[in-house]
Amino acid sequence: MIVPLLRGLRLTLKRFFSRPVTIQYPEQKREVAPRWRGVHFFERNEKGDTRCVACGLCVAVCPSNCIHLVAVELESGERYPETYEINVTRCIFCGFCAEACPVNAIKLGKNYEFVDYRREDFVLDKERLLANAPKEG
Amino acid sequence: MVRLTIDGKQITAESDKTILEVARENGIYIPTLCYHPRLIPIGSCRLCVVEIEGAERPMTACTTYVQDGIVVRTQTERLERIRRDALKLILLNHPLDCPQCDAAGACELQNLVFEFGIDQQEYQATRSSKGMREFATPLIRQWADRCVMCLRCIRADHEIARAWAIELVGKGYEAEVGIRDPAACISCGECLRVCPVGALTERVSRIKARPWQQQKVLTTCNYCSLGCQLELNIFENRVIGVTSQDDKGANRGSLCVRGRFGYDFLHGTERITRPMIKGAGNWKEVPWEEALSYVAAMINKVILSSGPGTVGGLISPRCTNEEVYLFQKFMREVVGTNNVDTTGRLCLEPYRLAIKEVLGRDYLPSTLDDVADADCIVVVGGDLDRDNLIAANRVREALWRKGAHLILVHPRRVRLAEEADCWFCLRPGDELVWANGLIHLLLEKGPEAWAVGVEAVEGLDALKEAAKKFTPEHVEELIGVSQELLTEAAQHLAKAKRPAFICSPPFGQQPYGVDQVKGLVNLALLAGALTGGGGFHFVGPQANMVGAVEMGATPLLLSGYRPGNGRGLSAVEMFQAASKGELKALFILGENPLITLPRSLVEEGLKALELLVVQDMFFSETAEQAHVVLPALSFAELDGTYTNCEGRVQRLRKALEPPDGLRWEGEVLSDLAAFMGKEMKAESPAGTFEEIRGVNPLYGGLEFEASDTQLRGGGRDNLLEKAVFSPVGPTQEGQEEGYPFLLSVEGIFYNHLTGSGPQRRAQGLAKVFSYPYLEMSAEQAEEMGIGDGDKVKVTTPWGEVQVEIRRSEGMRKGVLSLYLPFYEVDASQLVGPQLDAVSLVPAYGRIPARLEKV
Ligand code: SF4
Ligand code: SF4
Ligand code: SF4
Ligand code: SF4
Ligand code: SF4
Ligand code: FES
Repeated sequence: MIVPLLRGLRLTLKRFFSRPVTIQYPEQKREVAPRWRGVHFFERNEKGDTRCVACGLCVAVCPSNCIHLVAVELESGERYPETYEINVTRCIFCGFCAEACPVNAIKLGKNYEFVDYRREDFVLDKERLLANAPKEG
Repeated sequence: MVRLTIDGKQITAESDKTILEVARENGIYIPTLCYHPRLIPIGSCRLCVVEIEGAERPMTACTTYVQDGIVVRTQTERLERIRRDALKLILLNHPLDCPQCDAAGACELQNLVFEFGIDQQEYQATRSSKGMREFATPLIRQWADRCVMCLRCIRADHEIARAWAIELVGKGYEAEVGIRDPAACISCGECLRVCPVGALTERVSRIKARPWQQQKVLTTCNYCSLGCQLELNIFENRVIGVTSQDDKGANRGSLCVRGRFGYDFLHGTERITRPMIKGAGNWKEVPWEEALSYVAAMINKVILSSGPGTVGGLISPRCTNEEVYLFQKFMREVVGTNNVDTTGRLCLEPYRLAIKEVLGRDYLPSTLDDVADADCIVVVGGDLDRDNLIAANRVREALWRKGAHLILVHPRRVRLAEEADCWFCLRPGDELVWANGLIHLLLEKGPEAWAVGVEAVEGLDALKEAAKKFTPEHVEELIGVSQELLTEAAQHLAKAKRPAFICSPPFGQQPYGVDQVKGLVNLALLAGALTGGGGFHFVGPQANMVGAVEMGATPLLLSGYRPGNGRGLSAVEMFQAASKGELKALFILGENPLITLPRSLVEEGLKALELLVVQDMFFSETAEQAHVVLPALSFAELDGTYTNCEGRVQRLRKALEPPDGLRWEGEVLSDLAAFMGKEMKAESPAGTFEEIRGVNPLYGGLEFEASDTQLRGGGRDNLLEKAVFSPVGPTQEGQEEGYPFLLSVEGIFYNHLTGSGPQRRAQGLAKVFSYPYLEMSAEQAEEMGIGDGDKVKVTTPWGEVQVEIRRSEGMRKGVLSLYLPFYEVDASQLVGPQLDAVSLVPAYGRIPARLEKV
């Protein structure tokens, strides 16, 4: 009866003197795994605009139907996403969109901190997706 | 008939078919790429190879005809290898830019590559990228890199459109689809339609969507009376393109520039979306109830004070059968007047009356398929290529696939003139003399030159008598036609077993129009076009021209060509009556009479009206004069039917959600009736069609929800039963003093209700249709010192306009042709208020005119 108790106390004592595992969020932040799927962002092309060519494959593959794309053809003949919106409240962060994208335009970033007060603010449009891109270096 | 075996299946087939066709008919799949059912096979892609027992090498199924007793195998290891290699070689030069390519998802190459499980470009080649290019028409983009050299586009251009705008340039590896002559391109989009990949893409819609994001809604073109079947491609309640299917409708997948590229007016700005009432010169938006109760009260007031005969209705021939039926019913039963008309009647009536007089019936049951089978074709009237391209293409099909002869009557050297055996460069109005000349020659040749059974037709002797004096010499003297040419044409007609006649406005819309057409019907009857021949056809500019008349939007007849109780006022007469104070209220649905009817008359009439209600999609010139304006649905926003010029009843299917607050015409009219204290039920388009079936014997057996087009009643049997030759002597009008030219106005009925007025809302079409111009003989222009593009003033006894000149080589001297793709010049003021006594149609052709340089 007393022995198991002592055994337990031993573990407690050991933890008492080892390094703590708790992270002091938000002061401290944890490094996520390399394949972590966080909030989406757009890669840029040479011109600094989104690399997306509005092919529609991410829209087709998305299992939760949360990408809204209106593709247009510019006068130059290039395809361009006039509207590109991801409704993050419906997204399941499966990463299929990034996998489907033939030009690596849409990606899932490392960011997992995404809070807001209104539903509308959870719709990522082109500008926000571009702004979400991780800073260089 | 031959018997053969394909993949172990015993098949009996017609001997003039290829192995591919027979296999497809029997549900056996053979991959293809360069083959297209409408084009002559060239056997270049080698995907369709099959093995034939006994033959050493595999053969291409698309070019090999079936033979008795052959045993064909379509799936073997060797064939699979050949096909895979052929595909890999195509991929060698293919850029694989599917994500960027418009065709992705609907690409035949993609499908094949997927089917054969090829997942990489095995062979590599270096080739510089050619990028996007300007094509023969600004409505199509070319991406030469994506081309798989199937040559379908070039073959479609040469075989269907016969335009020779594009051709193969360069040799061997460097060969590519090049532009031969952009001026020859008629922007029909036939090349675009047959391209299996994304090497040619559509340029009208900025918005693009993948096939799985769109809905395709099969409906009927709302421009001309051929009523081509087309699919509106819808993405997020917008039309972003038009496609077509090979097996639907009389057009079999072909469309003209208007059908394929003329859809963007649907999303034009300034759509009317609310009822409006004009008060103190300002428009005020009001709820439907207020607008309708106001209109109802006003109409009731007019009826009370001056009787129902002072109310009139004008409806557009681009409204559906159901709308027209309800509109005329509203006028006849709720208001109680026969004053109802449509501009469709102004095109159809001369033709109907002529048929009626000669054949004792109101319409003919011939279809355009008969034209393609004809061996001699007579074309009279407008420029078929410009107005009714698909009919022109059927003519071409007969010409070069069946070796038919073409006799063309047109004052300009139009595209068909190049292909005609006999081109008669006549002044408008000379057609009757010309027809009589031919009748004379045919009669001279004796019965073997006539149609079977014609000898028994009443009136033949009278015809002989009347035609006696139209000897070739006399005809030459009267209308300046060479005797040899006339004799040659008579020769062709005499030999023909299946002659066909096609006519279109402005033929018939001239003084003595009905007589002119009658002359031609006499000729057609004598030559045999009506008895087992290619038929007598009338093609016109408005989608539901025939339907509108058959639904009863005419002052003379009820729905189904039944005689009414008394005659109402025709379109032009209504305005005449209005200016005299005898018509007080007018309800216009979708029409724009200021543009299409004699201007001075309409202006005066409109001013005098106590109530003018205009219902339209956009604010037309006439709507601006109205007291009340109501919004209307577009053809893409409603269900209904159109009847085309062959008598095919075809469905319009709702493809777009209309803007908020817009209502179907049936509801509007029944509400209006209710506010007037009467009852008129109209539940739905289908319900109304049901009612039409009951009332109109021609529509009795038809289904609203039919999956295909249906021919309305009346077979071809006993066409001669009531036939009587109706000889017409010369009705020649002299040239008017001081007006040395004869002017025809063309294109005036093309575009109304489609929002393509001067605002050019159909922006795609605006890119290829020029500003209005006046064509005249190049030679005469030279003599008068008028250059191409010079501004001139045209004056007729009724008005004048300024317009640019286009010199036309080979055109008849003394003839002018004013072409109005959009309405930037007010051509309607050139049209006189006189009506043909029988058809009540004003003259759009043969208007006396003079010309001055400005
Ligand atoms: S991560 Fe998955 S659910 Fe979210 S947008 Fe991409 S495909 Fe859709
Ligand atoms: S993000 Fe990528 S997959 Fe999605 S439309 Fe753009 S290019 Fe295509
Ligand atoms: S043409 Fe077809 S295969 Fe070629 S890039 Fe376009 S979609 Fe892909
Ligand atoms: S649009 Fe018509 S005319 Fe022009 S190139 Fe194509 S097929 Fe020929
Ligand atoms: S442009 Fe299209 S239709 Fe023409 S040859 Fe190339 S792939 Fe064939
Ligand atoms: S389809 Fe027969 S060779 Fe191309």
